[in-house]
Amino acid sequence: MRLEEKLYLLRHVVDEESHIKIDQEACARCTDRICLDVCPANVYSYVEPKVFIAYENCVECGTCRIACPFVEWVNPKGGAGISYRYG
Amino acid sequence: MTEKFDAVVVGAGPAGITAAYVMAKNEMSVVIIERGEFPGNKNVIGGVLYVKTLNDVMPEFWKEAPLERRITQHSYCLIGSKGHTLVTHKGAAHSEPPNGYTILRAKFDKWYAKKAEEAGATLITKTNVTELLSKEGKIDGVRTDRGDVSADLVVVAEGANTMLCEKAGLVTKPRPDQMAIAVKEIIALPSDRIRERFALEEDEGAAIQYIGASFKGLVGFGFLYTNRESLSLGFGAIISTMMRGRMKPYDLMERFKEEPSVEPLIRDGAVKEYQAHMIPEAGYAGIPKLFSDGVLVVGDSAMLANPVTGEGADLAVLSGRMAGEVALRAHGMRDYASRTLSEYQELLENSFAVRDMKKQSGLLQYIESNAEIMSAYPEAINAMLSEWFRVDGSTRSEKIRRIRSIVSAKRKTTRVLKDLYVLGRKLL
Repeated sequence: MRLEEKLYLLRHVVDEESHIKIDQEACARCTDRICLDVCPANVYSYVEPKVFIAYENCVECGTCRIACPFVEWVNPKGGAGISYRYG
Repeated sequence: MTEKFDAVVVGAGPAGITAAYVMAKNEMSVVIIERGEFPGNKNVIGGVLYVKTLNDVMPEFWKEAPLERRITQHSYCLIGSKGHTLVTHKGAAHSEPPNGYTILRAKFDKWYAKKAEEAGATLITKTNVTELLSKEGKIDGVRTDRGDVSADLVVVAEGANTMLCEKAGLVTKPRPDQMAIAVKEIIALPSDRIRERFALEEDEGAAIQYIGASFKGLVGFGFLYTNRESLSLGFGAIISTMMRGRMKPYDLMERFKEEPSVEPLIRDGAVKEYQAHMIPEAGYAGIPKLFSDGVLVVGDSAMLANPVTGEGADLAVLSGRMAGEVALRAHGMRDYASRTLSEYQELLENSFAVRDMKKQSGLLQYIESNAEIMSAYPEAINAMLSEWFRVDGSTRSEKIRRIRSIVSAKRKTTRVLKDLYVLGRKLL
């Protein structure tokens, strides 16, 4: 089963504003780009010359915040974001 | 407008709800602030809530709570590249209270929060706490995206993402080797199929922990738990080991689902939900100072989780109860200073849970620096048993000799002795 199909099953309340910010200058210099691998929802993608963030797919695990020092990750505003039906 | 409470609890998970329940039941004015649409819809559990600690807070809760299956069957599955070995224990006697139940958080946390509300706590949802407020060095409230709330005491139960605690200088941001990422799927299967596949009676449940080859180089475990009409299947691994191997969680999940020890159990099941969550794995050394003037830290935020037993939610309940009880004494004395609240940390230190964590100190680090342990032993055990069960004309003593060489090929005898020594000292 492809990740896209799994993400499609999830219910999100989308916030107009991204709760994830990155330091694009640091990302441009970064050779590691661990964000592309560790995120379980594939929120990060790299298209020359920058990193794109599909914040609306975020499942709020916070792994990127731990794995990368350039990710500035906060909770989406109250009521927004992932809303699990099972949990 | 600023509202004033005796206590404000940040986060409606098992730790926060328990603290709120204990305080509210004893006449403190308490508000729980939850950022989700309802308690539980941001929360993930691997599978099992062990009953003991919550039963101490709310006797016989398991007779009315929305639970899935009573776990009566525990297995370890050692995955090798050419086969797997399953060790299953099934208890004959039905104990009361039962040892553990699988739960689904969206249902369970909602029910549990309702209990705190019935005890007198106020629940505010869809509200994100952005900052702890302080006056002259004492925490005296919280800032939310819908206004400020002031309180004599703040109980932080924000979960594994500890931004509030970090901002307030209570904890330092965890390193990648101190946290695990876990992904999980809810796979729907009819109840009679589940009972047949796992050989279970009506409300009985099974828990399987997977160790071995599928997770090469990773320090992590797979798990499978039975719910009433679904399975919870997933795995968790230390983030630094995922980073080192540049492995994508969802790729590993797909590989895990194809394992011969997993695939027949989930066959024809429909994936209903995909989830991911972090688990604190820093162990005893990672538990920070959990109190300061006007504040207590509980649950995942306090780094309370036991990777060996898979405990987490029950430790959250334990810490919530202890925080609630210390809060009651502080409230009685009208003294919320560190000297009063420090009793919370002492209580935790003396609990069975933290004493276990203390004993296990360094175990994960040892495994991390000897990551081949995770696959070498399952590989050796599978090879040994495959040799043992095969009838091929060789004598049993010849087989024993072959088995000996299988083991020493996987890991040197001196290393085996050291591994056994370390594991024995940390676990027994």
